[in-house]
Amino acid sequence: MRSLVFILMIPFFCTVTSFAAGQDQASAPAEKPDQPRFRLGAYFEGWMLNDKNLKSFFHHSQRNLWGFEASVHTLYNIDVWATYRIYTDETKTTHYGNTDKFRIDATSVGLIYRPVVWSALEPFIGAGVEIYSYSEKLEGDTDIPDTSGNAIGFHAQAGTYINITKFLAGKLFVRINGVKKTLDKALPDGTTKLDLGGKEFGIGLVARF
Amino acid sequence: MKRFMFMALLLAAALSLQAQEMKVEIRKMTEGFTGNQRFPAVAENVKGERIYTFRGNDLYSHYYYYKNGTWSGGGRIPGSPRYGNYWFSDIVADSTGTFHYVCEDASKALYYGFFKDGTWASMRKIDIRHEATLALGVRSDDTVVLVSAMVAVGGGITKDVIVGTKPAGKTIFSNFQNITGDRNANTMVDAAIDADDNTWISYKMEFPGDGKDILDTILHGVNKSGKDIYWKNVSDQTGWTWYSRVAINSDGKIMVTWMRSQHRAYFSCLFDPLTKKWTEFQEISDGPLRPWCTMYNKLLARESDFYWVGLTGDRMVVLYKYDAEHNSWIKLADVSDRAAYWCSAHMGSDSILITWDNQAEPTSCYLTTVSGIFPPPLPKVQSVSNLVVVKRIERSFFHGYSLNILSWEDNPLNAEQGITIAAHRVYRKERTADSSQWALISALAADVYSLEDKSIASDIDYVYAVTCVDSNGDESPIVDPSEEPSETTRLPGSRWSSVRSDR
Repeated sequence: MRSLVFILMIPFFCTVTSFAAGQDQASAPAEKPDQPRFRLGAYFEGWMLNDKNLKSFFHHSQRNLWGFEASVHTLYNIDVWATYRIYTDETKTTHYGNTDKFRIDATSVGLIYRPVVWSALEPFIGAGVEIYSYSEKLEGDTDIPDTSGNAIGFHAQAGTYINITKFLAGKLFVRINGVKKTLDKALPDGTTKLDLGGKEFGIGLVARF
Repeated sequence: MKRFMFMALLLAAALSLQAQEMKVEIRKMTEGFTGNQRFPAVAENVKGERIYTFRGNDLYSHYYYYKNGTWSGGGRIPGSPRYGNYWFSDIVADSTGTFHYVCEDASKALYYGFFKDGTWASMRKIDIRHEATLALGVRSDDTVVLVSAMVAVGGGITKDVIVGTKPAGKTIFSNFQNITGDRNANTMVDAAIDADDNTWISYKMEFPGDGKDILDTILHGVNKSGKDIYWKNVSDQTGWTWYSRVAINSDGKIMVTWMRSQHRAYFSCLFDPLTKKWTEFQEISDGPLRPWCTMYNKLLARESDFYWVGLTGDRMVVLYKYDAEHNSWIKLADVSDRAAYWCSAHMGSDSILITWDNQAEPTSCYLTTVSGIFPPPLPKVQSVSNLVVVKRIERSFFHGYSLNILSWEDNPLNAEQGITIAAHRVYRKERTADSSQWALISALAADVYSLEDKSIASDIDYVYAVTCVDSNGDESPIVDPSEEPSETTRLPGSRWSSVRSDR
């Protein structure tokens, strides 16, 4: 499923980028002439899921992880932006103690608007969609089957770039996700609601060119 | 008192008329007591322990405890009320060796207490409108059955026979059912449990107000659900019959005895539930006619035989054995050395235990042990000890299931009796299901002492029993767990309960 998500994202990203490039030419006089078109970055973040059952079962309210992002400038200081990160957690099954690994492959696609540049700071806000692929796998002999599924939601984010050089910027951000799913089969605690939304906050480095 | 207790008078009298090896031992149990001690009863459990109870001169219940060949302990039973009119009592022992004791404060209330491993549980009042007489029985699952005569609603001379039960592990009798529910006065109850756990009850039925002045002996069978399976007027004689007794032998045949006032004699009749046929009335003859109120007697069964203990006309306690071939009774022994007021009896493992108190005041209580009548029984295999059930949940985040983890230990009684265990069998039922719902879920080797039961529904409360099968293929009885459900804890994020979570 993760492969499928990427395959779907590529034409979407290319289409938006091509459209943006054309628009950029048309609207170029309204923009800063030396603005870089592409940004590639990596960040380190804390991710706090909303789902109380998940946090209780895996005994973690927050996981720290690496993420990667890319964006392309379109027009009016608006970028098309995407990121990919992997949320993982691990615990033991309640009685037999088999290792239980949980994972979310999270892809976000959206738009970012950078209204102003204040000295080295370049704040932004943004919004977009969340595309998650989750799985739970158990190791060893067990009667419990593995599980996988997908969920889609939205996000809103805010932060700032900190321009260090012409080609390099730091980044601070906060992102809020809303990703809920109704499960076909209830969890052992009886609920069918799965809330994979949450809050992310992080710091990163972005290359601009 | 203890000094006198341990120096108790031991009278051995070769009073037997028949068996060469029969031995009659009379023991004065209340040596040192002053005043009138009354209404003794006795029972023996599978461990060979005995409890002897009586109403003391202080009008409380007292007891002595017999273990490893020695009478000891004794004293007032905890929680015993001070009786206004103590008369009837009964003691039975279940398959675990627990004694169950019920006694009456006639026309007022019944009281129940149990004795296990040398300790009494404080006696409690049983919440029924008790009139007089009672009897106990034990089903194969250790449910104790109480049969009693109750003051009927509305009072007067109308009385009814009621049956209540106390499942194994519970401490109160409940589920009382009025099995007569008529306008007749039904009292003088006795009860016996057959191999199918049906309860056979004998009682005196009085027909009030019709001018005939008839009291007859009834045999009334009810199944575990309290549904009638049999009813018959057994005596069907003119005049009054009193103090019926009932017992069931290993062939399933049912003996009923009663006293008939006009003949001043005891009669018996044997019923075969398979053929539904009764034998002719048979008098339990003992020479002189009995004066009124020597009516106390007790009927016992062992293997295919029946034994009867009662009072003669001169109030001596005698022991009879039924001769099935000739439908007659044969006197085995005189078992008292003086005139008695009261008598009762219990079938021990290798002897008949007969309790009585003497007629002349101040009265004392005695125990006569009649041994050598039959060989000691072969030891019976017992179920496992210390069965523990722990409910657990095995789950990932998305999936899970409940499982019950059972563990148990060897019952030391089996080793003590030289019994070799060949296998264990695990049974399961829903807690609220009756004992007919036990289902075999696993047969395990004798050296396996645990089981994980995964084939359960998470929202059902199960109970388990683990039996032992000996090298002869005999299986111990299924015993309901004596423990209440263990403490329940809640796992985070789970509606499933985990019992005794010990991870």
